[in-house]
Amino acid sequence: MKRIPIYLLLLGTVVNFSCDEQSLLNLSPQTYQSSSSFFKSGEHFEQALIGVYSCLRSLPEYAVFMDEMRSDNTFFTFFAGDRSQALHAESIAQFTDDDRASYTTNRYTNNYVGISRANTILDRITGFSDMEEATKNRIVAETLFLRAFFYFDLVSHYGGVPLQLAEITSEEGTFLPRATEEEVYGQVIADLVLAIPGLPVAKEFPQSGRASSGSAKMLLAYAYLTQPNKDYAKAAQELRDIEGMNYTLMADYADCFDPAQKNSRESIFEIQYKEGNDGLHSYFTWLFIPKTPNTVLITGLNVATQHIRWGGWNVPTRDLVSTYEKGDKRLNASVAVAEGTEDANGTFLIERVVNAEGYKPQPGKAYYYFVNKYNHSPYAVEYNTGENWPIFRYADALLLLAECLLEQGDQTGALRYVNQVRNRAGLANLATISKEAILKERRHELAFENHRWLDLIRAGKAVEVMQQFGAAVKSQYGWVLPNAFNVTPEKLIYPIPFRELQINSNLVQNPGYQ
Amino acid sequence: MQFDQPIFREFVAQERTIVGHVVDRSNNSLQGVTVTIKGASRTTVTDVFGNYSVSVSSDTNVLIFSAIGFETMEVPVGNRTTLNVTLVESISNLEEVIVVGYGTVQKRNLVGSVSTVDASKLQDMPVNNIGQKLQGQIAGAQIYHTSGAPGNNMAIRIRGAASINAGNNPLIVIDGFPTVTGLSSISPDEIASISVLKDASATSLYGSRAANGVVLITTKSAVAGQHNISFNTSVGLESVGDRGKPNQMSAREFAQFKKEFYEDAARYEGYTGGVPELYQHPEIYGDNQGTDWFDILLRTAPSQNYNLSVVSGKKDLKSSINLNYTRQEGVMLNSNFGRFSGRANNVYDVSDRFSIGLNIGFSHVNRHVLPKMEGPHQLIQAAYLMDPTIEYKNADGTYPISFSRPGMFANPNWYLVVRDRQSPSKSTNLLTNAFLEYEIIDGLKYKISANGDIGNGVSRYFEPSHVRGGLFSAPPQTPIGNYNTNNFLSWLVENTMTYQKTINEAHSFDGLLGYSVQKTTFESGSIDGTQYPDNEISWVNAANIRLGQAGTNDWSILSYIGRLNYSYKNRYLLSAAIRRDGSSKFGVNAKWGNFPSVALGWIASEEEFLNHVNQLDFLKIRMSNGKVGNNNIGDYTHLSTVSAANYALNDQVAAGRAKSSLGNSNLTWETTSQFDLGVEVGLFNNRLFATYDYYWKRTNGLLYAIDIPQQSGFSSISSNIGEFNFWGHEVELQSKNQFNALTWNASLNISFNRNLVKKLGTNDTPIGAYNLSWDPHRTQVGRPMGQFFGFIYDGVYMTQEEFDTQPKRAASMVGTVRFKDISGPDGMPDGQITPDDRTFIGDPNPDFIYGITNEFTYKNFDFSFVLAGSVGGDIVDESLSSTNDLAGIFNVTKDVAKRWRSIENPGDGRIPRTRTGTTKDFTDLSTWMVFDGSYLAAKNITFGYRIPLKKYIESVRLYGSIQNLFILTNYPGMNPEASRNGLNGLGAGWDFASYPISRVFSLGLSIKFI
Repeated sequence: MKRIPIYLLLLGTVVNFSCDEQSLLNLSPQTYQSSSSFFKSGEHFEQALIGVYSCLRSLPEYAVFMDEMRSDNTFFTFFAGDRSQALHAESIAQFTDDDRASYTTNRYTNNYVGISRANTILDRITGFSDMEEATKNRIVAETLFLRAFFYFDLVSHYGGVPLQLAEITSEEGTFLPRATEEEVYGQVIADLVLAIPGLPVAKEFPQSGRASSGSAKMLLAYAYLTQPNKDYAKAAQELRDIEGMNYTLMADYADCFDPAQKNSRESIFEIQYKEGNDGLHSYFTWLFIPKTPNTVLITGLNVATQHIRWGGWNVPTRDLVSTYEKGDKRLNASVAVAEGTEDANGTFLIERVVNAEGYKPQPGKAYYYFVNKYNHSPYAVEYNTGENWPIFRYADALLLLAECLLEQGDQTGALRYVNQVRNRAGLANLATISKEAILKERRHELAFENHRWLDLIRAGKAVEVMQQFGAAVKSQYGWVLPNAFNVTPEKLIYPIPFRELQINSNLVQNPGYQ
Repeated sequence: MQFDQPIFREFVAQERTIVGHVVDRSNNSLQGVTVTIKGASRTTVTDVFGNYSVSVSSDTNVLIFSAIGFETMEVPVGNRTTLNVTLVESISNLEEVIVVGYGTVQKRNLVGSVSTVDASKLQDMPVNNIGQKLQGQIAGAQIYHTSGAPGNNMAIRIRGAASINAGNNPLIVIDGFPTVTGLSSISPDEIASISVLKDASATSLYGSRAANGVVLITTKSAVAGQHNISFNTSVGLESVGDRGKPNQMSAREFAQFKKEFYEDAARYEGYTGGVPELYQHPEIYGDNQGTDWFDILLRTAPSQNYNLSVVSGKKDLKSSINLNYTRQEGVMLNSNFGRFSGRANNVYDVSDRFSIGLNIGFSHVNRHVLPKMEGPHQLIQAAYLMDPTIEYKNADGTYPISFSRPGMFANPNWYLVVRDRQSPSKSTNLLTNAFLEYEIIDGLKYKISANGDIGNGVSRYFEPSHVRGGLFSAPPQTPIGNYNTNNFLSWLVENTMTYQKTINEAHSFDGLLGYSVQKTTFESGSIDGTQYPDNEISWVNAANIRLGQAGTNDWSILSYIGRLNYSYKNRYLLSAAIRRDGSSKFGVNAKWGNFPSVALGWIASEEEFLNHVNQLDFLKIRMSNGKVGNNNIGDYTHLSTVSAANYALNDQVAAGRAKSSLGNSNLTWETTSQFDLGVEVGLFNNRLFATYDYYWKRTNGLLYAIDIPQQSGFSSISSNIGEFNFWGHEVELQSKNQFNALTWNASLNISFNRNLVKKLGTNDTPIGAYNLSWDPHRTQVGRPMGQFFGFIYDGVYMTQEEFDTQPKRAASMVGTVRFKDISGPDGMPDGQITPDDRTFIGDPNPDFIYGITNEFTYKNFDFSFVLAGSVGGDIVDESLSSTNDLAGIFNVTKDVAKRWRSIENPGDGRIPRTRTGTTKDFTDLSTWMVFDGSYLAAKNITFGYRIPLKKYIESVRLYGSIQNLFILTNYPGMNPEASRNGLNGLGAGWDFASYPISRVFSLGLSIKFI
């Protein structure tokens, strides 16, 4: 028995010293990467760049509400049960939104997440040597393009925003005040000018989906045309460069949106989605389907759905449908009609889906227009599609170029590009050209591509058009509140989100939202 | 059954044997009483019958009879051979040995602030969680029953402890082992005592985990000479009282409301659809209440508990074995909790100096509580927001699966949802403590212990097609299901060396040195199944699409500990302790921390100058100061997380990654410095014992995610910037009284806890209340934490004139809700109602909390009750924002009948109109949803009767008890302790359709075998 304490002490010692302090106390996660193991190889920078691209995926949905439903192109279907659920989304369309509307908040947040990821790459790649120079230049160029893209989205929707241009590693440096609109545009332009030489010209079609030189030039043209001091000459130069690249108009307008023909010769930049379980699918088409318990006639998917809750947004207005010229192929490619019955509870059952062109309402039937542009059914699973979202198309570039040329007094040039686009749509040449004609052409060519609101602003028509539109909506729907559609120049930009103002006392709210 | 014989026979000359029988004043045999011959080392203990036998050498010998809880008695043997003794229960508990961190100490010598509860006093409460039994029993501990769901843990908060992100749950230490499991897997019947360590002196040996206080659980073990078998059982019936149930409209009232709703839409909004037929004639519903969607989910539920305990204390092997089965059906349909648990605690004395111990406890828990029962628009609330004119059951006994009503979303049948969704879970837990202890020289002991906590959990979920869906989407839909597993292993190896020495009877030392290592690893996996073909197979393998994932995380801590206790002349006391912790949870720049404490005590009543104060039996003044930490910041928060952020290129997955959270390599524990001043007074032969404590503590370096502007790309960064101050008073009074055969013990405790926020991040950015509803708490510098923040409700704009002259919100109209204009963008009232007009409208922190316990024993009868209460804390019932939603989409409270409809018919001025687009404002948090949450609750009342027997069975006790018999409160909701976030300092007092607390009537039987 006397030996026991020695064994004991020995045992204790073994247990104690078998634990190496360093390995015991330095634990890092095993199921995901952490900062301790990332940005250590060239491959990591490639992955980080993809991480910046991934921030594009949620933008189209925000823009549907903020750039299309805010305009006279679309409205929403009123549903009594939505009262406590969807008010924030409805408020944007009615100009009663405040700084807590979640789309406004999420768009702001999402853009800055993208910017922060871009800043991290730009800061870290400078001192990173284990990479070929060409690869490094391409990564930098794509990153700069994306940062410019996010800042352009911010400045065109919120005005001058804080300019964060460095990686954030601590609390310091996160409380910047707002920069001016000019400063933000300045940064967008500077980034793009720096990015363009490093970006390839699109040569192979279908393209990969990455940004190309054409994408950057298109964004640069938009920046020149949207900034407070518009520069038509510089914008025209960039657009002419695009004309000299390998883009053409697709023969059939509807093919531009066909998932089987993604990233086509007409595509300058589009947001990429993939159907399936990878978490990379899109679902925006489902938001556009009328509120109904069964969508089979539209989606080809015969299951009971929650669609009464999710559908009925971005509904094309009668005003828009009525402005298409006869024979414009773009109408049926963009809008369809769901016709059916509506019971006492307001439940709509679809009986047939028909073309919008020439549709006459049937007695005893209810009908809803819906956006058909992104519907390529049948789908296999609800809310899971592979539809891409177009950001810049060649047709858009031609119309924008026409806009610049007209502003510079070149009517003939402007007319040529407008007619090029009209011919593809099956329409005859125009004989004369005007600002209004270009605006109308853009409205039809780019309908539901989230351009209308910024187009109206650029044309200086937003207040006038939306006041008229609001008066019409009010006379149509008794439930619209008297304070709705109070459209003032202040409402041309959105509020800085509530949370940001609460947290950062250096920020000042936009007028009209205080 | 004679186990103990006098040992040193050979030593005795003229030896003779004395036998006797020891009883208490109720004439019950006392087992385990130590019988010592004064001045000699021989000792024996009484057996299970209370009999002893001892050899004495002379008539002048004196026998000393001692037992815990009884006054020690000395009796000269004289010429007797039989010596029967009646021991008197001691009134003073100063000699009681209480469990503290890494050891035990006599209560009189304790210099830290520790509250203890003897578990035997709690045994009659038929509840399966020890936390519930402790309500009202411990000064300084707020223990709330925030949700009645079976198997839910109680919320415990010691000395108002709070943290922003690191939680305020105390560290739970079971038999010396800081466990992962916590309290829910251990049966209360296995527990011998509970010590709650409160001040830094008591807790600093738990270092970086001690800031929220420490609860030490000691499980039952045998003492030498103790032998018995006992069996306890109880059965109960649980039900929910009517007080505070949702005050929803009946069928007729609701039909009337909807009819008026459409009439008003026609009048004000050009609505032309007419009143739907269902609501055109409310009178057809007559007096029929319609479906009470809350009541149909409730039931009277049985509960049961069985416990078998076998204790055998031989001289060299002491074993205590406990087996327990408990089962509780929930008062809501389809919920239950069952636990089978066992424990064997053994100590084997190999020799006088060497002992080995092994404690093994296991438990298996079966639980069925549906997820998403409680909270905003979750199952319970979704049900009672239903139209009451709907019959949930068809006349032929079948059930419809969905409903659709004009202007309301289609809904599932909530009765079926609650009845038919499946969510079984199982968990198995094994807790072991093994030790070897060797006394190297007298007083110097070395101990090594190895502890393991192993847990394994499995849960499954299935939503059949006919109950799939929710508040806004009706069944049938394709079923979904999932299958989740998790397991953990926590091990702890600890080496301690202790030395006890008394020099010249004046200087008494007690030292401790130790080294410990603990590591915990968690693993989890889940499989989600969708697109089930039908309801036939609920397991996830029937699903057509299955997606799975797995994860793991771990943490480790390495520590050195040391303590020195010193007392001089039994009246001057000193205790100094330190722990040094290194933790994997902290950033590379801050891996190690030291947590020291020092305490001084003075037993003034030992001084001569106080000897002549006859009424004063005991007076101790103690003081402590020290530093402890809180390390609950997540395992890898100091590292930035890099998560997958993929994109599609070429219509293929392109793997992307991005930082999804900001790390901080300086991240470390938060430190709480605590000062404590205590006074203990025993008066009137210690019949009245009073303890007073004042504490002051400062928590700084608060670990929390500072909200930072989104322009950084992140919403928060974890940092150590923040400071809270806490202070408070605790008073505990205990009185033990004896009136012939009647014993009356009473205790009262009152705690005053205060706190103040001093610093939050670098910019003092307030936390919380960034949304106007469902986000009620704001924590701001210069105020107590977690206050309610909202508008000041000011009725309704009753007339056009009132509307024209009063400040308005964007959507305001005549007849909509009116708030007070108290501020604006410039801090001044600006004639507009905007979020700037919100202010602090309530404080959930109580002024004080208190508990009262009383026990009466008269002969074989006993009666006891426990009351617990709280005064001055506010509570928000935000479920009212849905039951007063005026958009016509939900059933509403009866009050809504008196809403504003027109200038001529303006209602009672409290409830606004139903005009489309204006009703959201009324649901924003404002003062009308804030109530005084003060209450006094009868937590437990017990009557018992003991039948003493002699043969085979020592005694049989019958008792009846009632849990939650009444609650006195002005709070109109069901449970003033309800709180969605438990007792989290930043989010207390928020009631939102929680699982109701039941009243339990039970009968119990306990049999003690000989």
